[in-house]
Amino acid sequence: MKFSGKTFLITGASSGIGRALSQNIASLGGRVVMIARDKEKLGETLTTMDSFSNHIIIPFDLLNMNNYKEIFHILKNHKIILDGLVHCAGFADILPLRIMNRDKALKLFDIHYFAFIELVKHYAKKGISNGGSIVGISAINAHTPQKCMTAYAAAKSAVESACKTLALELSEKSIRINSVVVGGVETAMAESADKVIAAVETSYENPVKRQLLGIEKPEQIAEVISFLLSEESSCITGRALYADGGLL
Amino acid sequence: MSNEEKMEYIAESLEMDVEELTAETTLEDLENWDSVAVLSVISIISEQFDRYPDAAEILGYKTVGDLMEAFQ
Repeated sequence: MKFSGKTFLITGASSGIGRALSQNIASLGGRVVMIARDKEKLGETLTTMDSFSNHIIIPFDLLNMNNYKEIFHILKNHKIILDGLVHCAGFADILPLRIMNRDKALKLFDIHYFAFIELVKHYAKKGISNGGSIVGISAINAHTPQKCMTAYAAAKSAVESACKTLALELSEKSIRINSVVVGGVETAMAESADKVIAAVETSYENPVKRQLLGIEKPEQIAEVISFLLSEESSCITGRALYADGGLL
Repeated sequence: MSNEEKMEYIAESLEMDVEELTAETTLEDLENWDSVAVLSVISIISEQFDRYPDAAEILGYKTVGDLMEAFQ
């Protein structure tokens, strides 16, 4: 199978895209190391996966920026060498300009960008990975603005930029890195934000309505990420792959 | 959270000075009591109190004093 003998580190594995991706990789013979804050939800995800005894769950708060070593110690103890990393964890705070400040914006940068950089840094260390492929999650907000989402758009733009720039250093270690630009996906994160905005602004048109292919399912995004993790995308690095449901 | 702090947050959401507001001020009369103000209030409450208030709840408040009730 596509991912037989391969191991991938997935953050945000307890729900949404991270969960769907974990299930996808498992169904293709891969082993998943799953990170999220919620131990129970991680366990639930695990029970839905093929060969569930093969995978590892690590409850961990990625905002705990100084302790990522703990994650990689666990991998070393299990004698795991990684073949890929996907950072799906994150939240999408609505932050109108009038209440924006550095602290609030930094929270978004912490989980989307700084966490990603820290994970990539560890991944690239000797003995942690065997080349492989890294995927960051960007969003259509980095290209098409959505009202009151300034900080989120900036954080996702930073992720996308990192995936391009890091491609240079990482290629020396045979590591590819790309981002996926997602549109409106049917996840708890996206739905709660949309519901709030829609209830308030009668003129708010959910950008999902403009997606030619309709609202995206996390499983669909998982397939695209899976492609980028596999040898099928061996000639692609440093690029942002649009998987936005046709939000043209 | 003290009443003063609640007032500060509400004033911030309305892009107004605290001095311009009292508990009796009617929200509807304020030019800046718009959808972005409501989004701001929701954002602040969810950050400070770990609960995500319904937009309908916030829109139901008549005065600044009523709105202060939501800050918990």
